[in-house]
Amino acid sequence: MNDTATPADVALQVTSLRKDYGHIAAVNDVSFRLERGGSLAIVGESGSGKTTTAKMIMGLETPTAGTIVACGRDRSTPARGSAERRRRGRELQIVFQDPYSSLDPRQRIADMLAEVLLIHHRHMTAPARAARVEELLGLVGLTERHGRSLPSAMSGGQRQRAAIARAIAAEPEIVILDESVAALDVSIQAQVLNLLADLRAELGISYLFISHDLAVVRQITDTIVVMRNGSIVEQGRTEEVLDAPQHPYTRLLRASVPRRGWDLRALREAVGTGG
Amino acid sequence: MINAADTAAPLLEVNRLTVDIDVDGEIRHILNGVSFTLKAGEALGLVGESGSGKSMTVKAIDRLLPRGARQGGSIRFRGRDIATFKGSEARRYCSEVAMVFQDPRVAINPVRKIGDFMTEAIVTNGGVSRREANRRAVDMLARLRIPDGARRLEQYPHELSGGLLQRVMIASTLLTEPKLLLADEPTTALDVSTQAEIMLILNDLRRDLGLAVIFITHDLELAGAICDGLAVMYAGEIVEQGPHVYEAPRHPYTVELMAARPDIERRVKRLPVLTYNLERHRALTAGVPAAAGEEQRR
Repeated sequence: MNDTATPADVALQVTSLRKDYGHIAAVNDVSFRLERGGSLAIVGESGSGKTTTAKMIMGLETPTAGTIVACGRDRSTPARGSAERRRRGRELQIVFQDPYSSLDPRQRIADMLAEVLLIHHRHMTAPARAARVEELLGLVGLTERHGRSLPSAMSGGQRQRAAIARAIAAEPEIVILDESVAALDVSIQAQVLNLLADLRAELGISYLFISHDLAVVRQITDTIVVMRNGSIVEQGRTEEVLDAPQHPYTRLLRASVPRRGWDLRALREAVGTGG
Repeated sequence: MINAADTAAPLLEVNRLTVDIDVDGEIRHILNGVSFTLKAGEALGLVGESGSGKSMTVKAIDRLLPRGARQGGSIRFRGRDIATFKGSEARRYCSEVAMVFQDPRVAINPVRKIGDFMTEAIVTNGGVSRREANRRAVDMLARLRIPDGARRLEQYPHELSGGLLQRVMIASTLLTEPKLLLADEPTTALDVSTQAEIMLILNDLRRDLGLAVIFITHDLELAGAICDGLAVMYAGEIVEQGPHVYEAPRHPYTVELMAARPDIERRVKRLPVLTYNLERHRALTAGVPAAAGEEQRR
């Protein structure tokens, strides 16, 4: 990677990251950079280490070695104290795959958003908070009526919008999207992908997009990191890597995506040699 | 394979199938006249979004409709109405129609060995000896490219990866020698290279055993790449079906659905959002008899 970028241009810098579980390196020497306002995909299959990498960035796992610098500050070690944790929360938020299990079933959407504002913007007055909740709902295409709803009264797409609103309520620099559109129907997925593009353009948020869906990755990211067995096998501009994959594993992933004239026989040979 | 299938009589005929369910005293029309046919060795992709009725269609075929559901129309298997099957005939139908679910871990008993799970049906219903059942299970695992079958039979589900377990599930459903496989999002939870491997195996089985397959999926690319034809469902109806659907969709809903999907070849500035809704659907289908989709297919 080039080192000409100034710290101000970098939202997230991961350097020589490593995570061992016993004798097994789940993540081994992983380095990448997410530009401010950029969108970076981590792709790979089960056991590739992409989720472990994301967990270390989120602070849910402690790296065995290596550094994670988000917004110019180190987060390789656990946060000390609640002020530090809040600050980290303002820097980085996450949207999970399943909005059914990541929203509190007994909390109304507007109350959920107000709670985030209470934590991260403590000096906000009650009327200002209510106005901000309404604004957040509007940003993700939900109405005041949705704000008064419980998650159970909403569709999957609406719930995922609510989860996105919660993530951006803290005004984070970086949002990790962990398979956030994988469970959505095609029509809802299109709306959510458009929404994510709009939010990035309007708010300058950086995305770390963890996905196995290469078509979605093409639509929503600028750069891509391909992981296998804990290591990066290839990284670069998304369109370049997808159009002309260099590593055999990336070629296998690309060939495994169903499409017109899918040649399963050729793929079997590729699986035989590359898998 | 496709040419041979064209001349054969249909294996499955679904004709104007309706399903109504009573929810707290209110009748909901889940299926509104679904019609299609399937020949031996043929693969049909049943696509559509959540709530379009694709799972309910397959449940009706597998005689697994929820309690209180009212069914209209008919489902014929080898020319005979499945509603009339009783006793041994019903059991035979059950062994000829197999179902594979999205998540193998939900459908398998975690405290029983793979071998017990796989051979249960043919030992208890098929009158096959345990030794013979084990031999057939190992053979079938080999067909699904799992070489060390004898060792796998002694393992527990948690010892196998998701992809391997799904192949075990498919192998075990095939042991009863089904003629029709109902696959409800069978590879959604799996990695793409594992998915490709399973699709390849199913293709071989269609060719070698004349197995007919109904794929339920929301993945239009997968359905289009694998199936002989697609049937697109919306609001409990098939709005369009046939071999042309993937390459050249004609119905406005199908056209919009295809366009809304991101393309791995190129990025678009904005993904088109679907404008097709129930109102337009009703206006479009008003006065059209339920079997019109079938006419269109010919």
